[in-house]
Amino acid sequence: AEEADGDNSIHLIMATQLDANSPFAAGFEKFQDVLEEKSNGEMTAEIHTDGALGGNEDELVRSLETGAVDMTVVSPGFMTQAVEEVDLFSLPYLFTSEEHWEQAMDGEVGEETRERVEDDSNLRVLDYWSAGVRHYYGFEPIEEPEDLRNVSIRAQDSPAVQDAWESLGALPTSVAWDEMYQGLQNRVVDASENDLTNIYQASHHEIAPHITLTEHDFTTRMFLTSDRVFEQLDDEQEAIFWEAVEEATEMARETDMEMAEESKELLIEEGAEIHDVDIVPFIEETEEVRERAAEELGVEELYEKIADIRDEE
Amino acid sequence: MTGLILVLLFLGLLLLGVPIAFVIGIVAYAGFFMLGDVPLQVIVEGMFSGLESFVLLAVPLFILAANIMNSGQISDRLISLAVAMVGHIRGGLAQANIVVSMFFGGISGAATADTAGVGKVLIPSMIKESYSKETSVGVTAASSTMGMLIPPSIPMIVYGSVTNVSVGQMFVGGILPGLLMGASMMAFVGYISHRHAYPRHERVQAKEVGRQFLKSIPPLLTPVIILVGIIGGYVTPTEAAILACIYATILAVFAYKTLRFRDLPEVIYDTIKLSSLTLFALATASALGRLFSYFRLPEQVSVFFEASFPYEWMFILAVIVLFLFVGMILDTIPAIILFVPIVLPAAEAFGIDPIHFGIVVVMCLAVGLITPPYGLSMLLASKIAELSVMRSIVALLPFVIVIVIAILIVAYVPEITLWLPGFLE
Amino acid sequence: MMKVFMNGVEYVFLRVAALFFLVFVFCIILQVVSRYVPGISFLWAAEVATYAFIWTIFLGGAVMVRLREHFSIDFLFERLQGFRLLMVQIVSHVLVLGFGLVMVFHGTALTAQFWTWTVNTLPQLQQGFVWMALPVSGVAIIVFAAGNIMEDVQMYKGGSRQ
Ligand code: NA
Ligand code: NA
Repeated sequence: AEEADGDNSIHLIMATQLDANSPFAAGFEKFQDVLEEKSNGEMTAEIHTDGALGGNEDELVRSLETGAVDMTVVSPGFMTQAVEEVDLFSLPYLFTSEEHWEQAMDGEVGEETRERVEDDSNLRVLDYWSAGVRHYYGFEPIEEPEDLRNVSIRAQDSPAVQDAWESLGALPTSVAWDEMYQGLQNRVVDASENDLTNIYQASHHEIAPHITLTEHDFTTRMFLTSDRVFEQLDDEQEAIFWEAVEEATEMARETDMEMAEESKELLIEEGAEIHDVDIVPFIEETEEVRERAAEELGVEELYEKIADIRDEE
Repeated sequence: MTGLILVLLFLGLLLLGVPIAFVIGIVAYAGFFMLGDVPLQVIVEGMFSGLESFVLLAVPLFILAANIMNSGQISDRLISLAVAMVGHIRGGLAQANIVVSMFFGGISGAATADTAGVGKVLIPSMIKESYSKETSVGVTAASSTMGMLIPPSIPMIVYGSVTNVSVGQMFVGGILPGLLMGASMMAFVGYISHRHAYPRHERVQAKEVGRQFLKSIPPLLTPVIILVGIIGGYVTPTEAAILACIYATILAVFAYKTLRFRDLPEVIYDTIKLSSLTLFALATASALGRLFSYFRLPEQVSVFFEASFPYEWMFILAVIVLFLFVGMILDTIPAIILFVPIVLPAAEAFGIDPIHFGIVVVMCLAVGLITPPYGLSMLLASKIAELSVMRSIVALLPFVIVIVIAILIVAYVPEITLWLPGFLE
Repeated sequence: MMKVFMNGVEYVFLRVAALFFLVFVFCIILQVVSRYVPGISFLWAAEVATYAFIWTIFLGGAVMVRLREHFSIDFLFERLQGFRLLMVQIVSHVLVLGFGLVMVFHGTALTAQFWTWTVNTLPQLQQGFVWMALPVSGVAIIVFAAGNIMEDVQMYKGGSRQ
């Protein structure tokens, strides 16, 4: 939003496609609270949830660019329209544990990515949030990559993601998320993958009750704003702004974990079966796809750094 | 204050005769200007984003399928069948007009294609058989509204895309309410036919009806193919629309040989014109919807509805009145895009099934096709019959009442809607 | 002269719209087919289809201005005559023309802003080509609305001479 004439008041519009109970909304609310409190009301924020200002992330990123929205959270896949390299973070098994993700994104990897985005666009990455850990689910559990042979799975629309599933022997297809409940019901696809909260909220476990904890994606979400917003802030305001960002991130990540735990319990309560699996063979079989994708995106170094952190552990 | 200015602007421009799609766009632009908080590009961005939905591709495709069927004279075949079936009743041609709209509703996703296609043939023959122009226009326009209820249905596709309700279930849910509308209209037409002593055709032998039926089986299979495709999970609604087009082309070009390839460009141009009419308005409506969101209108209305109507029956009545009114001034699709997100949360708070809610909304909006100021089916039919718009409005009034009664029945007996979709679960 | 020019623009627009229409039909067929043929998939099919569809609608929407077929309430048109009718008609056309200007102005800005952005499933395709549909449609709306004004003025002159 634009600065009102004559005074320093700042008003920010925050938007997400998720609902008011989502971790993103929780983070936004924290941001709003801290911002308004610390600035004594000089800085304010309004929050729009449920896709009121744009139902898909594509739209939200664009709105950030035009100034229709000041802050949002998007997945890397939708950032690629502006900055292609961030597609790296869509890759399965890029991160292999929660700690691995945190070390990378809160450290050098996150910093470098932030710089790349800033160099290539008018957008700014404030911090990294998460939308849970994604797992495989279908009509049967899987124990090894071999079990995925000729299984048609709904995977995300990124070429690299589709290649990764293909390298595991599966037949990845693209089906709209809204159409997935029926898609599973009518066996258009045999399986899908998502985080526990999404599986639960979409009730997919009612049809495909076997969830295998493949942990193939410790998801990265980018809490974004644009250069335009920073241009309006004076130094003092910027300090408050960053303080609010920090607390918002903490809140969003915490809420995300809590919700995943809750969803897990609810899923089990409602008859879903959750299976553990040895993920090492899955990591190994997809290695090549990741390397190739990193090369194509021109981010080999960044990829190496992430892999190094994993090996250190 | 801003709201009042915008409403006045809307009504003023409407009265001036500015095309509605542009009225919506101009009002949205003025609104963003007054909001002052966001860059004005939002208006064009909103127009673009409003169309950026894969589901909407089904709209031109279903219109194309209907146009191919029409130009392939498949509608003639359906008309012959309907006349053979019910022509011998008093007011036979009027009854056949209703029956053929049920058939045609299964082919077309857009009611107006029915008005134009069937009206062109049946209105002149009805007038020739001494039906009044009023009755001819009334029956033709009113019965074509069933097209929105009998699958496939473009409004239901849009409803599905706005709400994430399964389009397949909406389609199935619309069947019985659609048939109920048809039955009510047939009863009403039966009544006026007796009063005016409208003619009847000679009874056609059962064998002849059977023969006509056999000849009509291929086009009548269209809705079956669409439903099986979607419910069976072979295709999405958009892809089903493509199947319908391909099927219609095969029938018209190869089976019936009534459509030549060189006719295809004209069919495509017609499709583009008709669909951009609806969808250009949808684009500007999306921009206006975005403005509503900045003003938090959906939340406010939702709270208002929950607070003002303590009982479910009152709420449902309010929804019916609202959408009957909205349907009068807005095209179906922008109406759904703008108003369903505003009212649906309150409906869900009452525990109303979103499929049931959607069917009631679509029925109410269908009435907008035959009411002033711009009931499209009414205008088309009155043009064909060369009856003044004023007299068409009066002629359609009793039909509106009949349909509203059907809406009330469907609204207060959810089982009519939900019984068939229940089998899908 | 004017009429010939407008007919020309209409002719071109309708044909280009039809071309985009065919592209999107083709893409959807590709999508359905690829689902049932294992081993091939065209991730970009749905997205390209959607953008071709958007072009179709914006071009078609402009043509409908020329054909004067956008729905409107002709309450006043039917009640007025002569100069008053002409005035109301012109106001209406001018507002449409103004909206065309909005589409050109902001549409061009957006096209420039998103020029280098790419389409998610087809990074080879720049978004600029998609957004261009807006200003192009806007230009045609301006041309057609201006043409409508001239036509109405001529009609009025012709009418008052009689
Ligand atoms: Na229909
Ligand atoms: Na009819």
